[in-house]
Amino acid sequence: MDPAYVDSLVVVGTEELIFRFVHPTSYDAASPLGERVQLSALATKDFTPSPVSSGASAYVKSRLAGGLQDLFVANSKWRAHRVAEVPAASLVAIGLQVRYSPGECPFPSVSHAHASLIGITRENRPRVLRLIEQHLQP
Amino acid sequence: MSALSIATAETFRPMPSPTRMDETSAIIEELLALAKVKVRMVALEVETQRDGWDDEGGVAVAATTWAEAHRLVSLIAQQLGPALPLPFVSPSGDGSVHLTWRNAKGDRGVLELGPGEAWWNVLPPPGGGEAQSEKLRSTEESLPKVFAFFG
Repeated sequence: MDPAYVDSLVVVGTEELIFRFVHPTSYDAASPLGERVQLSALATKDFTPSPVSSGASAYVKSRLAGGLQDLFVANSKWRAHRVAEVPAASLVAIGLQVRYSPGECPFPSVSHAHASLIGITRENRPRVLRLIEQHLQP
Repeated sequence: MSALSIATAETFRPMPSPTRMDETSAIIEELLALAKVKVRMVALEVETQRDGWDDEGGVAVAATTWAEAHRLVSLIAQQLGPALPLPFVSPSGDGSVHLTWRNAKGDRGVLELGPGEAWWNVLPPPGGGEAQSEKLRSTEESLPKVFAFFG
């Protein structure tokens, strides 16, 4: 992917809240708190921008008039996922960029809220996952 | 020996000793635990057969990756014995399968299998320091890593 493409994406404000889904297969309810979201929840393909993805997918809450419900209408399978509501500022604080990436969203009705978490690496992945777990909805 | 004496001998055959029964129970429990993990793996293999299985454009997990995961889970369980835990198995959107163990210190050891590469990660509990990752030259290298992880 052209690095200029990533630079061209609009930065999400640090005051925003970000929805990030966790697939049920990557959540181990039997693990101690802080270790339930598994490494598998962030794939290595999210580490490096590719022609189809600049990073891990997320959604900006304030851009969704109906909140989480809008996402469930766009893709009902997400109802089975765990969802975290993470402050963008916390993601930025651990070194990630959060940028709008509507062109990468396969669901037109919510593409305007789509964002990418850019800068995930093998090294910082455990910290990102811990942050996501801290903000999981019950 | 008459049929009656055989029946009598069978009826009054001594019960296995408590130690023997404990051993048998342990083996049965071990087999049941392994079977539970294997059933989960088969279900996940079916679930991850197609691209997009994770609702996020995830890559399908290849049958060869699942076969290698099955082989390693069985082999490691056999060599570690019943006293040590079986892994939590989870697929990832990059087409890999993760096997996660926890040791007595509370560290997590995560083996990432495929496609085309394998990684061994050690994650301390929260506040316990930095995670370590190491790319393996082959999946066979994972065996000594897992054994060392359990000391």
